[in-house]
Amino acid sequence: MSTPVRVTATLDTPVSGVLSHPFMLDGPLAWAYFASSPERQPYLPVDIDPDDAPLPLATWHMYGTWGWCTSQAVYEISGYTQTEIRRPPSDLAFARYTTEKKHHHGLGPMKARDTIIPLTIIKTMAWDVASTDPDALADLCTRITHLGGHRTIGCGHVTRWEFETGTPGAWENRPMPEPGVTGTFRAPYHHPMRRVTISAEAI
Amino acid sequence: MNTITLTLTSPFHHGAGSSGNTSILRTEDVIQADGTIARVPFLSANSIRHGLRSALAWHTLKTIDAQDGTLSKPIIDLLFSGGAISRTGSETSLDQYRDVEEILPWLAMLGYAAGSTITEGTLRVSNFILQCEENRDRLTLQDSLKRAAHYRGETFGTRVDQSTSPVARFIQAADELTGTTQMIYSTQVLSTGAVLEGTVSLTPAATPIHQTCLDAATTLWAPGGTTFVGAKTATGYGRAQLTQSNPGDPDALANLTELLLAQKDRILPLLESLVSAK
Repeated sequence: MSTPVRVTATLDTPVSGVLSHPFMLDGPLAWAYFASSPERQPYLPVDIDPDDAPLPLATWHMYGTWGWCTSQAVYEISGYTQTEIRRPPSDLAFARYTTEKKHHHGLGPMKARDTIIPLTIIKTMAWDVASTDPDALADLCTRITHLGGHRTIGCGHVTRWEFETGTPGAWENRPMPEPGVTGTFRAPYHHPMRRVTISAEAI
Repeated sequence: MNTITLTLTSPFHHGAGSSGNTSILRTEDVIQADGTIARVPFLSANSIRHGLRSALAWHTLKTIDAQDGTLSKPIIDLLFSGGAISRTGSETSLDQYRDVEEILPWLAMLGYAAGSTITEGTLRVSNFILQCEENRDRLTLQDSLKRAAHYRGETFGTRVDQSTSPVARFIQAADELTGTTQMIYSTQVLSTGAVLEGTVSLTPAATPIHQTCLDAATTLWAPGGTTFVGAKTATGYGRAQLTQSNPGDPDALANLTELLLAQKDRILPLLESLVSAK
């Protein structure tokens, strides 16, 4: 038994890295679950099949794989901007604590860097989900303070989560497995062991 | 979450390059209610994070009494700049992460790169935005706001040409110079009295010791509630008075120092293993 819910996040800072791929809500929800769980791992070994968080979402099963009933994010882009991340080498500390003769600012992993990060200005992002426990869903969402990349410097900051009655079946607005297609259908989406290839002959 | 305000007690500069002899103030795009975009000066979160990291790194090295000329550049880079990926491969050491949590927890709080892995920290810092009309919707205080332009100004300095001073007698070629090469330069600033506002918080993944590290870092970064932010701080720019909505534990710095002393013999071996290319 599940309930259709429309989840909306209001943002007050630009977002990084959400334009390049469909952005399903189970990614941030799984992060929120593990972040406050004793099972938390700071990073996931790429050669071990990652655990699934017990999310308050219904699941779908298709062509031998499965995923959570959440749509991709729906949003309107207000503008494009950028930020810079500067990384000056610590010359003073190098001089004091090492015996090195020189430090090259243009070469190697410790060089001076000024990286431009493209950002998108988005005021609200919305997802349609089928939830098995709307209260637990709201609790998990409120633990998510930032969406997208570069969260440590405040990108994608969420000021408010809102929940309203959704439309049944609206969660299907998302990539689904099809015969002959390789894809990633549930969190953690970046993990290589989440990639599945559906046989071209699958029924 | 801790909302921090920085009230400038000297002009503030956060650079975005230069145009001619003028250092340009860095701005961010802010969408206005009518859909137009305003460019408003700000202080980047990255700059605040570096201030906290640098304060913790110096405190750690002084507490464990690290001797001059005894460390490697990758260790210094890890402490002061967050490190770098030093090898390829997909294997990550969870044991090593547990060691960092136990021996040098502020590194886990801030995040770092070592071996083949970038480890996300639990600290979240926002950009520090100007209390002005353009930022109204994002501020805690919304009274008596003026446009950002009201707070902007420009200062100038002069690079003295010594060939026209009594010091010139020490310069071998002084007699050959005709005229002066004295240079005036200017700097775009936010004026004294302007207020910047931002937040510092930890994710649900943070441990209690991360909170201690953050409180200690804030104390080290702004001793007595005064700090320097942005650029040109060596010449007095960017002095600010800090206020916090949620001041941390006043004993945090003492507690962190005690932890560092207890782990003194394990800190450098841990750092060496983190930057090891093996």
